[in-house]
Amino acid sequence: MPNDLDSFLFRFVLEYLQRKGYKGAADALRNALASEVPEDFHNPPLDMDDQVRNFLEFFLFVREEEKGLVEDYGKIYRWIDGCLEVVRVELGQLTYPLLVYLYLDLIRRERYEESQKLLEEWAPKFFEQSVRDELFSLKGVRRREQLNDNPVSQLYLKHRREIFVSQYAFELLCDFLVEHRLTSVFRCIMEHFHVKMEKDSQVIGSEDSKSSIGFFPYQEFEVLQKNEIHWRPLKESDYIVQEQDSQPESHTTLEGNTVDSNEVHPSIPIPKYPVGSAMLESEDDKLRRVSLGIETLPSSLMYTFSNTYDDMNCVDISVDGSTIVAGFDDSFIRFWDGKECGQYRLVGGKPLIGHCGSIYSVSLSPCGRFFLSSSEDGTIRLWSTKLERDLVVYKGHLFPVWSVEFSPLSHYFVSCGHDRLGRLWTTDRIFPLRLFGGHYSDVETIRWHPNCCYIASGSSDRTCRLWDLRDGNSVRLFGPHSASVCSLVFSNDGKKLVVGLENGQIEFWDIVQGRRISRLEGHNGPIWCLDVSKDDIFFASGSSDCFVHLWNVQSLNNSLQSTLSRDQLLVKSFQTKDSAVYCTRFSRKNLLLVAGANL
Amino acid sequence: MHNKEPNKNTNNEENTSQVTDKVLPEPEDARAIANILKAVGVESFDTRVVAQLVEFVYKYIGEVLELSKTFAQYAQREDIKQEDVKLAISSLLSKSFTQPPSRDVLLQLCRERNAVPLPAVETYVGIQLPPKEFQLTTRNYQLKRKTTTESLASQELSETTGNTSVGESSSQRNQVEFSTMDTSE
Repeated sequence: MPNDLDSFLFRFVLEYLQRKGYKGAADALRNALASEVPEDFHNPPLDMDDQVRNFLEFFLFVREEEKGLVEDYGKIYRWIDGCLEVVRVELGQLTYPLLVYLYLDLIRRERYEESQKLLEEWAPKFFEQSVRDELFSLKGVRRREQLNDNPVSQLYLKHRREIFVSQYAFELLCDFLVEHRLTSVFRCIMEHFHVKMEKDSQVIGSEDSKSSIGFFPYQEFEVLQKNEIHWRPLKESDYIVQEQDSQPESHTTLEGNTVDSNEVHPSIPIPKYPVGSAMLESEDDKLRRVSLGIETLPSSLMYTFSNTYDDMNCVDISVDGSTIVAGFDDSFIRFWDGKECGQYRLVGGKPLIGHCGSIYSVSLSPCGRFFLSSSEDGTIRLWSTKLERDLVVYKGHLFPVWSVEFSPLSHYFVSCGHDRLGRLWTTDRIFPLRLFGGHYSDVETIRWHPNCCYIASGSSDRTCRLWDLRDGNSVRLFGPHSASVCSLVFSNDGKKLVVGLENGQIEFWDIVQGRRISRLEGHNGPIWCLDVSKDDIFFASGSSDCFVHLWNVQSLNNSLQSTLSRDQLLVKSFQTKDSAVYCTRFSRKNLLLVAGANL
Repeated sequence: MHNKEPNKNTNNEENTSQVTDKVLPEPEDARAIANILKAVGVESFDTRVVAQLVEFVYKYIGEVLELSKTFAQYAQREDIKQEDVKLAISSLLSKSFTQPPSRDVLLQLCRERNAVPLPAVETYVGIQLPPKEFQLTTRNYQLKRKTTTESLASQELSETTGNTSVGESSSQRNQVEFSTMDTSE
């Protein structure tokens, strides 16, 4: 019996060498084993281990000229569709990436008509989902030489796709492939996928696997999960000058954060302000802050801009609600000071000229006297509302800058843009201090953590990342989402991140553990703005579907449901008269301020 | 793709290419461009978009062919070959269609920049601005100083004509300086 196995293997190796054209090696092997090689070997011995037997039987029938790859894919697709529910959910992760890899393989082997046929027949099945853009991009790859230029094909070819399946499901799949002799599909799976087998088939939640279509760097995700996040608020002594500060105090330190205490030391140098400074929350703010609850909803005020002719791109409202700044497509910025113009109707709005491209984002400083604007021309400008002119230009991004935000303690600001980087700047340096690189596509939005130690950035590669400011490394990866990220906000306790997506969904992430808390079908259009009330009870979302929704998130701490229905969380819904909502902000006294444009 | 507009249907039926097809015969190139747009997934578009794209395509291909002719001539050939065209395309790529650097380059840049520790912050001050030469409000002109002989001559001139405003400008200089903005007003 050992003889049978050995001779079978030798013959198998001989056949392989011959097929590959290694004549010399084949002859050498043949000579060495002249006596022991049997004539026919088509059936491997019956006593071999079943799995090995299947594997070898498979490769015996591999032929270089495989025909009917399109039908093969069709067979697999229909089989997976017809499987048991549990297995279907697990193997469903496979169908879309398999299509992409088969297509790319066909292009690589220059079988162009087949590749087009494959895409024409099977791509429409995935058009409804988030991968539509990827498919359109792949349609443009027609020739082998174009494989290197197309970003989607590069992403897929460079990284192995991770699949999480249970052993049972995977064995089912292998048996099916062997039974129907789908050798090319099998080879594709072995080459391009990284199959991670779980013993327990309940590990894979059904919600997660549905959305894990499209590229996502799972390996990096796992590595980053191990990082520790210091989410607690800052010690007040670190950013407020105490009255009894007669003795020399230590400089704002760069020491590591202490885990035991309730507050953390900042990991980056931050400015200190005397009590009563305009940068900080005043006592009045804290005293007069409306305490919200289900019975006491926040009062809300909406500013609607008319006659913007679809030119308005961004709006920001100051934290005390008095100043509004808006950026336009014709590179003008207009701002209105509520204290001067009156409460309910802001007229005028002096146009500020400085940029040479459309303005994509504006951000007011906490004191309300300065603001930053970022534009398509790749620059960021600091403006003063008192002088009504720009003061400094920050050049660094050479491509459109999609978002800019002042830090809650002023002095620092971050920006992100088309060049896939986030940058940390201070107002007194015209070059960036930190570069946050890691996203696979442009970074759409960027936000500060309340304790100024971390930054979250959301990108059109459908992930969000959390960055440590001290060394500029990514410490968390949130994803995969079902659409690109449009807006972000941190909860005021620093533990949660709320993400608004382009397809109207809202996702809640726990930063500390790095896992998704839940998902919510929020709106019918992209969610342009999110903000959380100061006591973390409500949060408001505004979207292009002309609604502002107010949600109650107090119960989120306890519930671990994967998808929440709207009725559970929706408290109030404000419908605007045909105005897309660009900015929602809770003022320091918990007043909800909204700004939108009525075309 | 940072287009923020409300979800209204802004599709002007009169402007789609299908209607103009019935009115005027469309040039082949325009039809080809319209088909490309539809294949990429753009369902509704203005006719002006097609016209602009056709113009752009003509201009681009013209540039590529001119450059490839130069390359062919350099190789002392009469006809343009595929390699000439490929070379022309790749040389024009960096000039006209710049893209953000590749991921490896970006990560390398990040590593270099992030290795520098963050500078300390001075306390008790509001928003700090960079040094004067980097602010936009600096004086971007220089006043020319007169030489001593000139100034003597102008003094004589001013004594005789009673004109006191010649040459003397230091008292009228308007100094506008905003180096620090103190917010503790």
